[in-house]
Amino acid sequence: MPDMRKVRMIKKVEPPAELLDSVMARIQSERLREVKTRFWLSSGIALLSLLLLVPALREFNAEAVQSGFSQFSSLLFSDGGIIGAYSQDFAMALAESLPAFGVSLVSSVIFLLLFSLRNIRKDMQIVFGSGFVRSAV
Amino acid sequence: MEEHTTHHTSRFSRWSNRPIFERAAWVVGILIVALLIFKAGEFVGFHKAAFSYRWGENYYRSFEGSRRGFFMDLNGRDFLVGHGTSGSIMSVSSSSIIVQEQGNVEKVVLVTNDTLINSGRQTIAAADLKAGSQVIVIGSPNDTGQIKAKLIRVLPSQQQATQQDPQ
Repeated sequence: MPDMRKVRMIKKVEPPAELLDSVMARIQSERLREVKTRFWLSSGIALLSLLLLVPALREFNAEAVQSGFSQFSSLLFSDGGIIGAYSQDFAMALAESLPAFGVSLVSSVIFLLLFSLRNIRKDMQIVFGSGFVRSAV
Repeated sequence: MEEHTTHHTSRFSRWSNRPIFERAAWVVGILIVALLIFKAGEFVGFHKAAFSYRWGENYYRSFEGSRRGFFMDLNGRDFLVGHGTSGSIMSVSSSSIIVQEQGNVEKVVLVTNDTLINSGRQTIAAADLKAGSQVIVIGSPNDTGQIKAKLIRVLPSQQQATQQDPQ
């Protein structure tokens, strides 16, 4: 059973006129802070993955040369016309010599780079432009 | 009858449009792709392991050296590629060549009348193969750990490459 006297008192309390604006402003600033944090984090990850891409590509190249993958692949250019006749053995040679670790390493770094670039692109307008109000609304 | 079919189609459509169905379809799709990749890896790995085993078991016979056996030193590599090789020719005989790969792994490559040997834009005879030449071989492995060559590409030597492209 609610205390009707208290309920009547609450009904009499009028919120200040600027309360809604200040609450909305606070929500907006919190969201902006969150977006900025994500933007700078994504920028850091993008930079890091760009730096990591160089050793990853080096590792892939070293592994591809060591396993013979790059030599077998070069036949596509030198003997592209006739390699079709030996496609089964050629495909097996490529599969057997595939530098799996190097491929996974390069793919992971590229995935990280693209993912962070997507976040940067999405947040850039909000952080540097006036798109936040529109997107918040 | 038609109404019955339409009723069933719309029911399936409604059912399949549910997010849970979409998610389940994605999970099943990813599982199928993962399974296919796993099976492909297993298939390729089996062939590599089988060739490496036969290569190791026949090492003594092929190279008249000390027996290395299956667990031979492959210079950090796991298993050998059985459907091809690349490296420099160590020795040439009437029906085979021995190719030394990177990491000093030697493979016997059988050269038959069906083997196509290309050097530059020309097709050459097996007798024209010389020790020291760099080659890329595509072929199929046999039961004694050798590769029956189908295509041999002779790479231009450093000197030839420089002559062709003076820059």
